[in-house]
Amino acid sequence: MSHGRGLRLWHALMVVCALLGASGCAQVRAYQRERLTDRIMSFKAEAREDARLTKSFEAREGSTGGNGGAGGGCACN
Amino acid sequence: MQLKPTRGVLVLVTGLLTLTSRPAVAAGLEFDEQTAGPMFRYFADSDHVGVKSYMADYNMTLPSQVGMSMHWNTEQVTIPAVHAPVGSQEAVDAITTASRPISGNAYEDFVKVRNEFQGGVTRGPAELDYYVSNESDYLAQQIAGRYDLDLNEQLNLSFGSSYGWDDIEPLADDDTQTGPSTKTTLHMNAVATQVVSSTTMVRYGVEYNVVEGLQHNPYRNVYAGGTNVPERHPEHRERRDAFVKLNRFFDNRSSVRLSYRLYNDDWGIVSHELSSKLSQYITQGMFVRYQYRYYTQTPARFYRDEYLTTNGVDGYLSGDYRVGPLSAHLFGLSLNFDLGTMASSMPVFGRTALVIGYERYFNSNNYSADFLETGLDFRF
Amino acid sequence: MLRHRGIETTTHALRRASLALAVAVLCAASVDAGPVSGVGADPATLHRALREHTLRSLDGRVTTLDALRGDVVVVNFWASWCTPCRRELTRLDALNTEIARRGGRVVAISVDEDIANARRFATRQRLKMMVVHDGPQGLARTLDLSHLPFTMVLNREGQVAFTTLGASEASVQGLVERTQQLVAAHPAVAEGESR
Repeated sequence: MSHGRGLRLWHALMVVCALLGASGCAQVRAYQRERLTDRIMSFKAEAREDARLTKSFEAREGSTGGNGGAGGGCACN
Repeated sequence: MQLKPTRGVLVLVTGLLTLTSRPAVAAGLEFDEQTAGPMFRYFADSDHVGVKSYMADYNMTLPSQVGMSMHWNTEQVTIPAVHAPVGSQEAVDAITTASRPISGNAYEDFVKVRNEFQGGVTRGPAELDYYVSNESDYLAQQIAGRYDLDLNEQLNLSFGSSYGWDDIEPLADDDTQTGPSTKTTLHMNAVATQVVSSTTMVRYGVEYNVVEGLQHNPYRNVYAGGTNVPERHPEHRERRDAFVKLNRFFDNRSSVRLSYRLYNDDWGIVSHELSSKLSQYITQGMFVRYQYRYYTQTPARFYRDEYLTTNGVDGYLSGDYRVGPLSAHLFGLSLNFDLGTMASSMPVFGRTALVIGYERYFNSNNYSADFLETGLDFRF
Repeated sequence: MLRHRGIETTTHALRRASLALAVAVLCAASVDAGPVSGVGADPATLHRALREHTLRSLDGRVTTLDALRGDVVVVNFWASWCTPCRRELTRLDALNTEIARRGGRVVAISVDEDIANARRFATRQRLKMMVVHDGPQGLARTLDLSHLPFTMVLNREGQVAFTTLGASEASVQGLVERTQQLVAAHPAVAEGESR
């Protein structure tokens, strides 16, 4: 992956994030959030599984992150 | 073991100040319930490495918006013996590139036990965590802090930081030339979680890590310039990533989660990760989850399949495929049972959930692994 | 030199990422500066809904809030998927028992989509107060509530005396105290008597 292409991807990702931020202007009231709290939707419900998988990947691959928090160290093979 | 005073104390003091300050009352802030649960996980890969993990989690709420969480994990890691005939080239290669000590007997399984503990305290929007992991040659500790901001009802911002310090004392080994060493990791992140509609949520964030210290395997040698040379990686690494996750709920009681992560570091590795999860309710309390992940990375600038001289590239040599070119796939399937909902006439189940899951991982280095896990969740 | 260029690129990328986050924050923050009371509907809509909206309890009784005039009524909107709501309901059930003999009552209105979820929770918790299932398209939508749980207390004339948002300890304690003050300040008129 070339340096310039990597930069362009960063830019695209930031534009997407900004657009998503701008699109979140529709009001969703508290009483309308039942589906968002469902176990199959909640980011929180999957946090433990995501953290465990990320740690496994870090022991097998050269990158890290994607969950919004650092995992602890180990001598994972 | 030395804690770098400026960074570590800064993170700790910031965390304590946020915990002890008057917490903001955020609209719609959810208090955690009391939950407890054991989990067992089994891992086996194509190198015949096996890991059995026994985990337990406990979360409780206290007055004044205070919450506590604890996580324990005991892992037994078995790295198999060298199977090639003694003195054969295959055996020499396996021993040279082994990621375990070989003194004593390389022809016996090497077993080590890893114990992990993580404890956290939350108060309102602030959280402080401590992590420790201990095994025969590695002691890792970390403190982390996080602060959440609720902006109206639609957007939550989270800012986190952590500082980790590891003490590495390689076990005595015929080839080990690395003495006791340290590694520190400073991490920062900013994450936004946004409600887009009554059925859609999105999360996006950026993360930054600075790692200093020992970052290669102290037992591994690399064949370079006609001889075996200890592996050497740079002692400084800056890592950054940006990610976005989208969750969408559908009328047929299913959901799709799409995630993308872009990563790069100053070793020259750039990676992309794309993953998707499809969850579908089968009955009122049972759902199945399918998962697929694709990963690809470019090699570190100092990685070579073969090194012509013992100096490697700018003084660095690696026998670690993890810093080479790589692509990988993961397929997963899990079944989740909310026993309390499924058997509402049997109050003994209360609010208990059971999960059984299987994942299959394989990459472009002819490496593959199986993950199997089962666990229970009790909610009080 | 490569490392220096890499660090410059990182700095640039982080600046852009921070800018994107700031844009998202500004946009979201500019959206909603609604009323603090928690009811988005105008006063006329509020009063009409309190008079006319039909509520069906889990045990099949049909009523309106207007029909409960004469009592001090604590109207609590909750959902089985809302963790602070669940915790608050047990406190409100105890409050219902305390004020029932003095002309007060608690009406818990569930906004669950599926009545089975509301019924399962109420049965498990052995709630004695009046529990109503109204769904997310009922009174909560008519009043355009901003928070969950949301509680309003109606005096004996059927007027909104005060509201509380969320279920912090302070707000629940405040709700209990003020309800008991209302019940004590204007005692219920027993049958056959006049004030």
